[in-house]
Amino acid sequence: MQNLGFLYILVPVLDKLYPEKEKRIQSYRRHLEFFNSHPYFANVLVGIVARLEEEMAKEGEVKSEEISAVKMSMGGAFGGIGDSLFWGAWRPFTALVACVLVIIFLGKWEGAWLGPVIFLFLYNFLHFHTRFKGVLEGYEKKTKVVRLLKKMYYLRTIWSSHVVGLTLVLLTGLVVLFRDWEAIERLYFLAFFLSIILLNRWRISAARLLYLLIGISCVGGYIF
Amino acid sequence: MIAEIASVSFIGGLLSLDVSAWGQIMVSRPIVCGPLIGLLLGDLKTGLIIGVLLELIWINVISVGAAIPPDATIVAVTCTTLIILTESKLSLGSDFHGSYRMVVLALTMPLAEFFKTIDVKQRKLNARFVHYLDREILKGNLKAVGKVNNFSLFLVFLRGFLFSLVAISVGVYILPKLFSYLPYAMLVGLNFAYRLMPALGLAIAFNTFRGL
Repeated sequence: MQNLGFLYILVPVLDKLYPEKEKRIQSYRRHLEFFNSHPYFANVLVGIVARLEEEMAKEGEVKSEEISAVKMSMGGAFGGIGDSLFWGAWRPFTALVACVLVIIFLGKWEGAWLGPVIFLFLYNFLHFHTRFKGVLEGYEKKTKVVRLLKKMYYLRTIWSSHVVGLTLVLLTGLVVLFRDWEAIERLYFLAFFLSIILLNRWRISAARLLYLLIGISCVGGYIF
Repeated sequence: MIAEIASVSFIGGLLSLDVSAWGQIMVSRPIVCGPLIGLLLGDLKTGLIIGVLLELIWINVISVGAAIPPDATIVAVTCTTLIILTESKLSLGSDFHGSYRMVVLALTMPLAEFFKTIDVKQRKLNARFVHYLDREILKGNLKAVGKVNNFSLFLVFLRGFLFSLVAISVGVYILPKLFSYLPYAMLVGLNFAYRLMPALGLAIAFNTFRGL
């Protein structure tokens, strides 16, 4: 999981805080414990843990069990937020925007390659924002950073991006239907599109859907 | 040909680092790595097409928590490379390039699941690295943290590199031969299937965004 990476990031901090080898070994082992979160939001925890370690080394107020507890509880919570925000909403949405651009402009305009570039810019803007802001805010506000998450202006807009996504898919479908297909053939396109949407109930994997398409088309090739 | 395969596999190894091990700036998504490989081999358009088709198909594949999704990157890399390298050598005319692309897609899709099983094994190996590191730290060997971290990163690169090297080298020889055995009716069907691919991708994207 992410424990090795977590320790690797913290190494400079730990080396600075614990000049004595005995304490340093202890702190290293402490952060090798199981840890799993979302890779971007884990940075908030890196900030928080760096601050807590610092306080522990200097004042001795914070106990090492507290740090473990914070890592465990907040790691899971941030994992959940990050998975649904980045993997579940933002990446599909930005990827869809890029795909739509390429589908519409490929062959019509030289600049179709801009689609992937726009995807990288759009996606990584939020990605790096979360990473850098995460470390700094985590270090500054410690565990109070959770309250800040509620206020994050972009969360709500992104979670509602599925409406825009659906509209984009349907519009692109219409463009493809009327541009690349002629007369009666449009029925095949529509029938296939609708049947895949209906098949969604059974959660069939993409690979199987592809084989289904190939199977149907080959049978069709023999009949017609 | 050999130089091309080797350089593409090298890039494939670097790209598979981006999936979960290093960076995650999403250059590993098919929409980016398809055109990237296309650019490298001098056929950007094919790269874009394959990238978009694979991206739409796998747009809903996400890794929730510790679950590992099928690996779209390796499929995008091998599929794009195989199509660009072998398409011009087919004995059939360019009318049937669509059906050839469908054959390549259909035969490279299972690589995603196969690559995933290797990934699972590698993660188990990483857990053993952590135990090893724990012992080293107890001994006082603190430099081992960086070494173990970089070594496991290198293993991820090596996995992507060797896997795409083997898959592409085998595919380059097998696929054109296999394609020449297909009967005419099937070729027509596959060609139609290729034209329907955007419908499949958009329908999957529709389902994804409806379920959000």
